[in-house]
Formats: sequence, structure tokens, C-alpha cells
Amino acid sequence: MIVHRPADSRGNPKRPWINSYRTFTFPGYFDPRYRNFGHLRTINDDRVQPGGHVPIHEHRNMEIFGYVVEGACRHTDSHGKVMDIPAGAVQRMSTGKGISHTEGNATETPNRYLQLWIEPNVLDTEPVHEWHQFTREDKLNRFCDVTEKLPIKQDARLLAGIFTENYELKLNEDRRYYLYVVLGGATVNGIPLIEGDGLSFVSESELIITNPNESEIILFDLV
Amino acid sequence: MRNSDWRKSKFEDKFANLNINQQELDRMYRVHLREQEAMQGLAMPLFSPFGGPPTPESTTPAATGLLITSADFVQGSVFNSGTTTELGTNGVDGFTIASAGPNQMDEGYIGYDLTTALNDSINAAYLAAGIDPNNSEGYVWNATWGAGSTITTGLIKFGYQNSTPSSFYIQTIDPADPTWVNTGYDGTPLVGTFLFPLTITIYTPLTDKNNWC
Repeated sequence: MIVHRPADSRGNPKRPWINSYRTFTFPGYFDPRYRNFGHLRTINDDRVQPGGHVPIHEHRNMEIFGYVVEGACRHTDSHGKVMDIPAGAVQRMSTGKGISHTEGNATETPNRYLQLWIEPNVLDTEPVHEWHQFTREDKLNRFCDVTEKLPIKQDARLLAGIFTENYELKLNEDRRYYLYVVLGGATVNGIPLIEGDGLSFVSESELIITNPNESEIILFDLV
Repeated sequence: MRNSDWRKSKFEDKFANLNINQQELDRMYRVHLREQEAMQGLAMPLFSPFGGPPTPESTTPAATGLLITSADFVQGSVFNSGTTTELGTNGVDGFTIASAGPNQMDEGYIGYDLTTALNDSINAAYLAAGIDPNNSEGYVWNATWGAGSTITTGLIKFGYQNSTPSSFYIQTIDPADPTWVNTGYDGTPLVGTFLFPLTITIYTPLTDKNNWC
């Protein structure tokens, strides 16, 4: 079964310094129809204006990816890290027993980053923050396994690709998948998609991308 | 150095590595002081009607509360929870939290598809409290729960989504975890059974619980 989640059906809380599109229920976007997809809890597609940042706050027991699409994301945490994560890079916080952080924009231009949360299968571990720069070549016309470089504490993978040509991927029918269009448009399994659209796959055997247009797509492989 | 200055300096030292500007540090220190005051209150269990720590008192003057009944929304639903259960047909009677979850966002309740009358009431209450009804961030409110609830009065984080359909979000607050006063920190949910009708008044000082992560 494939279910299409159109971009314009996402939540859209915003303040002058931030504009957030939310696929799943999250404080600020409440819809009991869309609470999670398996262990995938959050896809927040945030745009932050220069100088904006969230108040410092704590997370526990969640695997959190920060996928930087445009500009740079200023990450600050209670381990003393202060860094600007550039576009193309992905950061991972394994929050475990607890880590306080802020994310924001310390540059002169707006940024865009995705916050992607996956529930862990082990609790109260030592918190970890790390990041990795992925290149266009890493992702070009293939799904690059982000979790090879940034492994998480769950039976799950985050894949990312930039597609300029048609592409097919065999799926494991015993697993579930969630696809999110980060940039560009494409047709996936016959469904035309635009930026911000989502597709969930349950008991499906293949994923077929056609008519891509510099399409950056992420795919969650979930138990 | 005066004693109060020394305390503030020690507090700021804890965040020395976080590159937080002085204005934000000052705000955090004010929150910390409120937290300390609340903790002093926790040392006086005789003031609690429930035998546990007392609920910190709001300084809000007596005000007409915002009343939410089970008839005011179509569906009640827990929020991504492992230990919360909605109660009654369509979940609109209330909810039970069996235990605090492993992370701070686990235990929440959503009231979904609100009546026009409730939307109007929430809009009016928000405007009276000085909150933009289109601001979906959660704020701390004083709560009075319906008969049969584990507690009669307490604190909740309440957020409102002014959309179609509209919804509200509730997270109970356990005042024994003092982090509830901090913007951005959800703290620990209070466990128990919570039944409508619910009457809420804004907690002052206005405490924005943030919804950006």
C-alpha cells in the first residue's frame, strides 16, 4: 500500500524568525491522523531567518538527524559544541540520557534544515553528537546510506539521493518505507510529487522514480 | 562581590561553553530564581491537598476560566504515547497517564475538530491573556479538572492550533520536576486520570513552553 501525503496537508506553525512545515504531530501541529510512521516520529522542515534560534532545551531518548538543505545551521549543545553545519551535511544527536541544545542561524542568509526524529530501541544511553558532510556525488542517482556514516540506535536507515535520471529500488516487503521530497519534483510509482510531498510504503516490493528534476529525496527504511 | 552577584556568576559559569548571549543568560537566571522559589514551596507538603508537593501558585488575579467540555470537540487522542490512554467514546472524556514516558514529549492529549463555540472561547481567552491565537506554541495554564480526576487543580501546558479543523494539545505538568518553568523544557508529565470538563486560566508570569526543536 502506498499513501500520498501532499505537501500542503502538512502543519505550518511559524513565527517571524522561523517557518516550519511538519509532517507529523508535534507541539505546534496537532493532528491525530498523522502522529508517526512506525519509529519515524518527526519530519520538521524548518526555515530560519538570520539570527534566529530556538531556546535552549533538552531532549532525551530520541535519535535526531539534522539534514541541512540550504545555508548553515548553527548547532550549540551542552557538550560545549558550537558549530555551523553546512548545506549537504547531516548531524546526528543520539540524545540518550539527555542533551541540551539549540539550533539556529548565525549567518546573514536564511537557512533550511530538516529535523528527523526516530525512536531508539535502547534507552538512557550516553548522548552523542556527530556530523558528516555528504557531497552531491555521494547522492547522485543513488540512495546514499546516511546511517552508514551516522549510525543510529534503531533498526532503521536514512537514505538520501539526488536524482537526474530514472531510478528503481527493490524494497523489502516485510519492512516499511517513508519517502520525502526535499527538493525538486519527480514521479514515484506513478504518483507525481512536489517538494514537501511524502509517500509511505507498506508491503511494497519496488520504488520507481521517473521524470526527476534535480530531485533530492530522502527515504526512511523502517522495521 | 555581593552574595547575589556571586550566585549569578556561578549560575552563568555552568553555561560558559554554550555561547549564550548575556540577555539570554539574564533571562535564564530569572527563570532559575523562580525555579528556586518553587522548590522552596515544595518543602512545605502541608500546603498540598494531595499529600505531595504543592502546585506553584499563579499570580493571576481571579479570572473567568476557559471551559472545555467533552461536547466541545469531536475526537480525543493521545499523542504518540506509550502509557497514555484516551477515555470514553471517541476519546473525549479525558485521558489516563500510567507513567512518564522515556522522553519529554511522550505523554500528551489532543482534542481535535473543535466546535465553533470553543474556538471562539479559546480565541477570546488567548487575546485576554495577550497571546496571538495563531501562535501554536504551548503556554502554562492553571487547570481545574472534572470530578473523578486524580487531581482537582494543577498546571498544564496548553497549545492551540487555529486551523480547520482546529485542535488543542494538553500536557500535564508534574511540579516536582522544576524544569517546567523553563522555556523549551517540557519537564515531567503528571501521571493520573484527567477528566473533562476542564477549566483553565492563564498562568502568570506568562510561560511560553516553546514548540521549536
